[in-house]
Amino acid sequence: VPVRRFSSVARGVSITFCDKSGSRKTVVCKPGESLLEIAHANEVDLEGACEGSLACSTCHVILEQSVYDKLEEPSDEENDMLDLAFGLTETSRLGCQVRVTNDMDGMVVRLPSATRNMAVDGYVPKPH
Amino acid sequence: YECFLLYECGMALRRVCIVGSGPGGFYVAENVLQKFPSCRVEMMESLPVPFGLVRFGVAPDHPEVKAVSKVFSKLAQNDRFRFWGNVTLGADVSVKDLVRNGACDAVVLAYGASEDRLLGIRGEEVCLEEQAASQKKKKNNKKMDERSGSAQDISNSIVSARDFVAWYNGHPRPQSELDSLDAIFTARLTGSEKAVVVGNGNVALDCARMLLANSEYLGKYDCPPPVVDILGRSTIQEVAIVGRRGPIQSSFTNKELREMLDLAKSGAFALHVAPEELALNDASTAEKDADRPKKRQWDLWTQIGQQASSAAAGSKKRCTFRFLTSPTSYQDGRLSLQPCVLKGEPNRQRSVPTGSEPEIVSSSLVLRSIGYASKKLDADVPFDAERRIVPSDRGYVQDHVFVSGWLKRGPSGIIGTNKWDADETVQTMVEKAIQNSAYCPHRFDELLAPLEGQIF
Ligand SMILES: Cc1cc2nc3c(=O)[nH]c(=O)nc-3n(C[C@H](O)[C@H](O)[C@H](O)COP(=O)(O)OP(=O)(O)OC[C@H]3O[C@@H](n4cnc5c(N)ncnc54)[C@H](O)[C@@H]3O)c2cc1C
Ligand code: FES
Repeated sequence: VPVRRFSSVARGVSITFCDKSGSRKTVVCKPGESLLEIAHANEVDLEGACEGSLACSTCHVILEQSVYDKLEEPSDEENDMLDLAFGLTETSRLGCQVRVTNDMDGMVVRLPSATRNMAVDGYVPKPH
Repeated sequence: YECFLLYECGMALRRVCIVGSGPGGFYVAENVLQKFPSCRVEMMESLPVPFGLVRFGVAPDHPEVKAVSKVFSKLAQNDRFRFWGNVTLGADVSVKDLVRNGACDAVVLAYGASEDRLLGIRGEEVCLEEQAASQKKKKNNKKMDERSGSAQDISNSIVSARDFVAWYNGHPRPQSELDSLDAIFTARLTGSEKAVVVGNGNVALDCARMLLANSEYLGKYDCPPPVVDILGRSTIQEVAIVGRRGPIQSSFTNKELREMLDLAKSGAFALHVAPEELALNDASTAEKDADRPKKRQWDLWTQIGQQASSAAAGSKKRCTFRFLTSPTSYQDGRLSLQPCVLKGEPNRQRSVPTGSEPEIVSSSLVLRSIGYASKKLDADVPFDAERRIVPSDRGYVQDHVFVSGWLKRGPSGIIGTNKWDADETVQTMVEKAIQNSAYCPHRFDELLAPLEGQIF
């Protein structure tokens, strides 16, 4: 009887998306897919209005420093759109341009938050 | 906590009416449908078709930008969403109608900017639509020789870029008006070798690209065939893009500027800019160094400068950037340009005339592209006549009334900017819904608990 060795089966790369309200979703994906494709396949709310043609910046994501450092520099065209991205950070990238590799296993991808977090900003609902 | 919010707000908002179907309206719709799980969204639009400037603003050679309409179309399939075309706020309904007797819990104004900022100089009084109408009248009256009549009229005014953009994007109009516009643009585009675009934003670059395009280029895109035909017969060889300040103060974005450089490299047209107009004073250098996009843009200007000096003899057509130049009048096809210098602290530099002789440019087509402007459409809604916006606190205007998009923050930014802007407005709607809601999830239990009844 052949023994099934689960450990040797390619498990894929696991990525956690952290959305603007702070909730997390961990998904498993194949190396080579773009973060935008992965988000779409898993119902993560990342828009990607221009379908990856570097014309919208609605696929803006924020990476961990260690992951960001391992990637190649963004192209001029990607930087042109990052210039216009909302809430740009030092480790911002466009999700349609970042392809997943094996060594990204376990990384957390943050989606920029547009609105103020009410609890953090001190908004208190009126007591009834 | 979030669940609690959604639950409570779902109770509080049942029907929201959005006025305007551009990105400002659609991103609000998306957010409202998400945040208020039982709320209906009614969207009204004065045109028969949705998407606003995505359809009638964004240039035909930017199909990837127009692709956002797919996102909006998908959204429109939601059962809780309805689109009402041909319904105009101000003419068919008022904000009061919409909120009276609870027809809607909230109205979100997102009707964009349908007017122009004016240069305020001699020669720009007549707007193209009026011209088209008066031409039509003349044609009907047959009082005047058609050709000389039109040629005389049209050489005397500056055309709004908004008119030109609407025309090349096939903005819906009655056929008679379209015919008049076609005639006007035919005359304008074949009246001289030079066109001038006044203004230093992306719309000016769109206009320049369209003016320099040949029919082969345009034919690749979704552009009305009569427009492709007329632009193809144009005699315009040079487009000058005029700004009263310098390259660092321009509103061009890097993507659009890089596109111009790439088109020039591919031989579509040559780029020109005079070194002395590109030169930066100390204040401009400081502005450039303090801003990531500007710093990156400087590299593009350097390349454009080099491109200019090595201008390939191959391409006959060219696009010239003219900085530190301000138009003062336009008459009989002659545009007067006044040389200027920049004065003042970094980020508040003003353009001041040098006092030297104005330059005269002969051109049958001068486009004014110095910005769109919103207008007041409803007597009951406040309007800031100076900034040309509906003033708000993060999107909240007054009870039941909210605002989003260009009407809220003025005509700037890209389509994606409206997404963040809409997020803010809807977040404010959530806060207001909580404040205004009489519903309290604990009240019922509090009421019944002392009775020590039993829960089955
Ligand atoms: C020429 C041009 C080119 C552009 N190119 C790009 C680009 O390449 N990339 C990019 O990212 N951004 C581009 N933009 C910017 C982008 O189009 C705007 O950011 C965006 O469209 C603003 O959205 P809005 O919903 O506020 O306004 P709009 O898109 O103008 O939508 C307003 C809607 O309200 C409707 N309306 C007006 N009055 C009434 C009324 N009384 N009742 C009912 N409805 C009414 C209008 O018909 C319109 O459909 C461009 C803008 C222009 C002007
Ligand atoms: S999807 Fe538009 S830039 Fe990435």
